Amino acid sequence: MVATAVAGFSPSASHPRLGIDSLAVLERPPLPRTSPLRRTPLGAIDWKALRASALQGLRRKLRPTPASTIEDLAQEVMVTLFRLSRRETLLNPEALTNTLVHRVYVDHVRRMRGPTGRLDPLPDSDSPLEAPAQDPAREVGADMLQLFRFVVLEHFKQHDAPCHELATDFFAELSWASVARRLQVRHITVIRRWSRCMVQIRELAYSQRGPVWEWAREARIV
Amino acid sequence: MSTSPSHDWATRRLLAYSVGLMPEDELLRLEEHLAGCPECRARLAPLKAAAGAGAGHLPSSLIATWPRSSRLLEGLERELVEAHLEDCEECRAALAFAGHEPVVAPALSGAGSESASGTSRAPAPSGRHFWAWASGLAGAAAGLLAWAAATHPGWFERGPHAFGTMAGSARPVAVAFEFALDSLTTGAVRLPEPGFRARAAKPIDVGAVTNVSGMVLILPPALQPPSPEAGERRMVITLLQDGRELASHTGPFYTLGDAIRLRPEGRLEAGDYDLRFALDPAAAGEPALVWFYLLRVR
Repeated sequence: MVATAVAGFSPSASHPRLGIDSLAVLERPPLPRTSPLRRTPLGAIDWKALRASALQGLRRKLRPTPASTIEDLAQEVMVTLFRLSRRETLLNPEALTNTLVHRVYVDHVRRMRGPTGRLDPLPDSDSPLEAPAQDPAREVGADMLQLFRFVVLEHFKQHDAPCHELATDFFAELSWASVARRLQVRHITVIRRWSRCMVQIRELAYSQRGPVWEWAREARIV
Repeated sequence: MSTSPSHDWATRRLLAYSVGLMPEDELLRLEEHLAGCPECRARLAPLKAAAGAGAGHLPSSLIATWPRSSRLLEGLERELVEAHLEDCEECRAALAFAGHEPVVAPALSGAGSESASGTSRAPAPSGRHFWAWASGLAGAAAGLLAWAAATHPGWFERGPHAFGTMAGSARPVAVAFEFALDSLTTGAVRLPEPGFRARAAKPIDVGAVTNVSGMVLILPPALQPPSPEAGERRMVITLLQDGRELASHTGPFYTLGDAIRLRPEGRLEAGDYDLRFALDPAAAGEPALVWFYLLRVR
């Protein structure tokens, strides 16, 4: 599997494939907790150096951005890197850090453009993205789209196992046709099954308060 | 780049599609478009990757900004994050790596939180916030009522009551409702913002409920009239066990006050009870607003 299919960003020519392929683990289920063999020993990674590299890369890409925002985004890179290191040995953590920096940078700019900005076309190359001016009073927070999906999955995990399975599959594939193939049912069948689940999400979105639901209402997706 | 009306429609609907919120008829149409539109597939691809990275875990962006982001969580989303943290070693480890305690920061709004003395009131939401939320709830309530009417017709057959009986109990116990209590009443349980469907996300432990003290419940802002006009609307409170109505009371919304008490004649049996609040709509033809709580009696 190539990195572009996993991370959604084309690795630049300077990124050796060896390290970037570590992102492939993102599409596989986590290794069992009892299988530490392939995990990266924490001590084997120079986290301080990687963090410095992430900060430097983000500063270069987001020049007019407040330092606190850069710190938050670097922290996001490091958390993702840490999670990956627990799943699989990182063969080239430096290259992976660079890839994650680019990914977090692009995500940040798209988040800043509002909900629909998440779907803006990606640049063809490493050319800089046009970021809207940041309100100094507005701090970077959680990615609401990801948080929305998390809340949906967690709700179904607790209350509706069939919907949880469908949502997990769909959020991984973003294709009901693919989900139908995996479940070996007709396309329309899986969509009808999901419709019942979707009603629950809509009810949640209309009845609950909090930033996740407000985001969904503002984005006019419910 | 494609510019057809079909493509324009698809690009506008991709976000709803990516979170699974698209009606059945539109889903088929969009997936048909996606199959033949590389540009739309390319727009979706990064979102697919982000989800595949672990949609079932706390987002890295949330962990990275944990102290202030977790503070903003409210109601159900807060409960779900807390529940996930209890079970997920991976997310706790990620939080520890980021230098944070695996504890959701106290809510900014103060909703559901108490002061050290345990007697502070949650601040009332702004009118705009409440009504935006309440009007949204109206749509959900319509579906809920339809579901409830179909599955529990008995819920809607009772008239106004000040007392009810434990229909499901071997020894019937009448339950009285008392209203406009002082919220500082000893042993009062603060109700969180309303839950979803027939069950709250988590049961609320109310301890033992006897005739001596009953069960005192401090109402959240959503259960207090935001205006005198709203206060005149009819509120029906119903206590249920296993879907069976045990007690019900009907009266104006304003009579609830800050806190209410449910006082049984004897002692309530241990178990789970549903407490339902149904508020008449502001205008005829609109659905009622319905809230549910799951109460656990010891």
